[in-house]
Amino acid sequence: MSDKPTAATTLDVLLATTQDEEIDCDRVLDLLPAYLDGRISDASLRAQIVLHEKHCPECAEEIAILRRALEP
Amino acid sequence: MEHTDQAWIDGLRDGTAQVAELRDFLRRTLAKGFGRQLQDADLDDVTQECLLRVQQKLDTFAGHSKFTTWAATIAVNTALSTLRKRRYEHVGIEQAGEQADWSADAATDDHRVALLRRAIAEALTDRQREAVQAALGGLPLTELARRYGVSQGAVYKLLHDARRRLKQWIEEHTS
Repeated sequence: MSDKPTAATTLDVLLATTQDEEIDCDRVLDLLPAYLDGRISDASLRAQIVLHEKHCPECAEEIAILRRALEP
Repeated sequence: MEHTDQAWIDGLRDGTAQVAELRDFLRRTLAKGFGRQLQDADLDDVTQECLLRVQQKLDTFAGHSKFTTWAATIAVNTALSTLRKRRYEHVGIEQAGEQADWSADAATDDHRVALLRRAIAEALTDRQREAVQAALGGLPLTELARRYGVSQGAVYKLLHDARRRLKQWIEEHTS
């Protein structure tokens, strides 16, 4: 049996955290360098990026790779 | 030696040794970030592609982060797009949708699975349905964006609108 969540479970998790307003990948990618450098002072904007990571596996993977690549 | 952001920009505009230094930085960054996914000649080719991309975008650096973080972000994004394209170029959108596993599990029983599938069938536009099913089947948003000829953000918006419709439809049919 696969450890990967089924489509229904994945969708249910996504629906449970869906907000009326969410920032999209283009905006996250624009903000990403400043986010990774800890230069975004707006807490709600940081929270939006964290939420986006939950909804977008591609951006989450990108952020994980960048964190690994940039760690001292 | 660490350069200031301005020193990077000035050096890269002059086309001097800073280009070689940036190439080395990007190669190290990609090697550390991607590990075994990107090695040897493949790493060199992707590094060169990333270097060109950073140079093309140099005028858009606004100083909101360190220059090296900005350049690393462009490089990782470029490398990921290349790797995903290679991995998924022979997977069709419909084929990806068919790969979604709709079995029930401990978190989602048969009744809930049926409800979610009915919501997808009835609440969404054709494009939304296709994109949701492909994404649930594992096709990356970047690949959907490439096939549709739009940005990744536009695909995210399409899926976000779809999630909102699904949520509303389910609320209406379960209350």
